[in-house]
Amino acid sequence: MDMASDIKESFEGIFRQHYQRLCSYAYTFLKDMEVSEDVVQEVFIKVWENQKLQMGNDKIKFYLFTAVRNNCLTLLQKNKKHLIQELKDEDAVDEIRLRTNAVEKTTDPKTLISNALQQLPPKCREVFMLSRISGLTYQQIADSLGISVKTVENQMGKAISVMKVFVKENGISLVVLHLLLFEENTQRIIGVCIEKWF
Amino acid sequence: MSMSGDLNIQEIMLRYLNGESTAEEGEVLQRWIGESTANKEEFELTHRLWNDTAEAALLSVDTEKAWEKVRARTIEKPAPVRSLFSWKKALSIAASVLLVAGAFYYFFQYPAVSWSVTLAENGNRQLLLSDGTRITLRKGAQLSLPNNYGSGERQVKLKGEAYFEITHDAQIPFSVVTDRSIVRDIGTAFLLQSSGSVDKVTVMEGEVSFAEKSSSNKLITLRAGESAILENKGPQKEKADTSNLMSWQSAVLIFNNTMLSKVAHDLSDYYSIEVEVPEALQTTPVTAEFRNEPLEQVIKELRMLTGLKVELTENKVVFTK
Repeated sequence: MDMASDIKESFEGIFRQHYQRLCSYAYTFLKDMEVSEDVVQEVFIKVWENQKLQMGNDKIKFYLFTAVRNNCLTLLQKNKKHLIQELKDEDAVDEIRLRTNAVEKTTDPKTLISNALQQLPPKCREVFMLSRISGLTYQQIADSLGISVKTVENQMGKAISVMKVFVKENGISLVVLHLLLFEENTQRIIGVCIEKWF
Repeated sequence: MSMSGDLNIQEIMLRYLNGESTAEEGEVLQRWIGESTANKEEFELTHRLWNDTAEAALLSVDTEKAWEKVRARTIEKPAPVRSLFSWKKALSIAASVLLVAGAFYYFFQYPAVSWSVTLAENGNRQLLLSDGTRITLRKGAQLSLPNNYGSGERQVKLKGEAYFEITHDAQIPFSVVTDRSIVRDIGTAFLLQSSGSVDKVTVMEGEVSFAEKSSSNKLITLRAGESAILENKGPQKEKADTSNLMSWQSAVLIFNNTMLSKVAHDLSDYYSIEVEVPEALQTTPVTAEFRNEPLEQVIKELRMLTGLKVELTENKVVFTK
């Protein structure tokens, strides 16, 4: 009985810990929040039914992200979306090309960052997003995507280069970006204290 | 620097940020950063993009609602019925079960309150309760919530450290019970740190009452900006210092001309490591900002900023001249 409630608790813990990140990851494929949530929930139900909880913590995280990706791709294939071919074609030439004129200038740091992310070629974006959302190691990312560690590193480097160029070309100096993000964080997180005391 | 050199340093930077660089690569990077302001800015931009892309990619979801759905289909789901099943046998068993159950029902009409326990095992956890109350548990904290929460008094139990943002309802007061104390809200946001031997409350907003369990009539009232500690002689008010108090939740440490002794205290709390500062250096002012950086990186930056020697051993950080 104690064991059963232990398992229930750790299942709940794992769910709460990873749910938002997994949905955000699924969204990068599906571009639909509702469908993304459905996919992630189904993966968790499978985890429960197949008693995958015995895996270690690191392994379960790897499993969850990999399973979510696979399920997203299957779903896309069903819907015959264009994206899947680009993602699967590892050697596709994803040149660093900026589409700056299509982007409006913004001072909102969140918009700026997501605009910068939009500049990335699909394959590159996939690797980069998985890394930043999941926090998996390069080796785990390589295993999850079925590519080599070297490719992961190359794509990560490419992603950062493109985004740097974008941020610089959009005339936003590091200082401004820094201040904006800082300000946003401060307000959100410790704003309560600061407002009341100063 | 040559093109290939730049590419190489970028690779090292990314490995470093992902916590996968070797000690040698770390040194190469430090040297490169020290070479020029341009290099330093380049690194800072990379660092910032690295941190902020993750945050920007996260979409808001209603985890609570989703959990309800998944729970109903997993842990709440009755175990599958076995197929070896004889109706006759079942009926005879059912009859006797009914008798026993009837007796139980007669004696125990009022089921005891059951508690659901949430343990923040692997990291901080945020809970949203049905009344809109938000509780953020620091890693290691444990919260017990009665299954009838909201009907009658709203009372929860806490071990460890948590930040409470209470939806005020004068009709249904909210209180937190620890091993030693009771904190009652009077419409509020507050931080409660309960270590077993010491309880500490810091009020961010509104008002709370704070009392020892054993003598709950000797309560003290705390307003926004006030803090009190309960150790061995009833609750005592103390000077509140709220800077970096919530760093465990925000993952941001901010020092603004802060004395090194306080920096040491905050680092020790955030990284769960002992920090040693000799008497003579305690008042050294520090201005810095760290956003969830690895301890090694923080130490490197502090070295540069203060000009002091900062050594990291296995379980201790030591500052020296």
